[in-house]
Amino acid sequence: MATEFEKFDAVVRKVFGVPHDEIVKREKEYQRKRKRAKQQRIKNDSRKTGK
Amino acid sequence: MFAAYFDESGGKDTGFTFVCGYTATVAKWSAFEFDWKLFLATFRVPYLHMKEFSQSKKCYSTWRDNGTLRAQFLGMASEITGSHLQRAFIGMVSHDGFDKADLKYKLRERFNSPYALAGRTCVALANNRAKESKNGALAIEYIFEDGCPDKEGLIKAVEAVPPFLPAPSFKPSRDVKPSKNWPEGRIGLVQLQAADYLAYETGKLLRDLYLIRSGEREVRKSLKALTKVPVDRSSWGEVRLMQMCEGAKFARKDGGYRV
Repeated sequence: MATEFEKFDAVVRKVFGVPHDEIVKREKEYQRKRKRAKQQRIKNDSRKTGK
Repeated sequence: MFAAYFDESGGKDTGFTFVCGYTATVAKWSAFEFDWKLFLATFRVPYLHMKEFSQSKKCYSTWRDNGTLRAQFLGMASEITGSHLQRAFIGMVSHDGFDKADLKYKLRERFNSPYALAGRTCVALANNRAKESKNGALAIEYIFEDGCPDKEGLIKAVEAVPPFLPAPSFKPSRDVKPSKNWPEGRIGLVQLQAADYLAYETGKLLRDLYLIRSGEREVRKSLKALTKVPVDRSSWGEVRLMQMCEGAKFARKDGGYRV
């Protein structure tokens, strides 16, 4: 099992090991997915309620 | 000529000590200083200090509920950092690993504290970068935030453990009022405030670790913004510390190697 140190080291490596441009790209992709999921949820809700 | 500025965060209560900082040529640091001072003036604060900022204390006390202003402040700070500084460094030491290695080996004879080891690690990382420079080995000055936990331990670790490196100097990050020890006061170096920002964010990452791993929280935007500057990092956990003690033939506490 990973120790506290190993867990934290892995997170630090992950955050600082990814180039900044890649982080910005992933962030945009994540926001896009979130927005799409939210829109879908609203659509489904309005179908259920019929409004 | 290069200069590297460092600050620390963490400590016994968090179980880790971090020393973080940046390096750049002296010319780039001058441009940074100009922009940073302008940035502070724009926000009408005398300095950036992440602990006070995060708790909305002292010069940030009126910013408590102003999320937009707070985000703009950190956004601009990371923008300036990203546009002038060339390389970031993070040295991290696990206190648990340090104590365990020190039980077996006379680790504290060489590195008096986790801070001394983390600081020495950053100096070595910065020194390696300076050596890789196109112009060959370049002179580099190491400046640490004054009031650090173990100044003497760091000086000893830098000067007394091979490869021998230039001694660091210690300066304040903010202006210090005249006192008995400093009758004329001291001028703060804003360069150290960039190091404070990185050190704080790294420490915060540790405090948020459980929430991040469970998916309840994302890595802070203010930390992601700092990744514009490429980072060299070096971590010391129990295994690596034991390997170093063994490899460098540190004296054992049970009477093994003699140094």
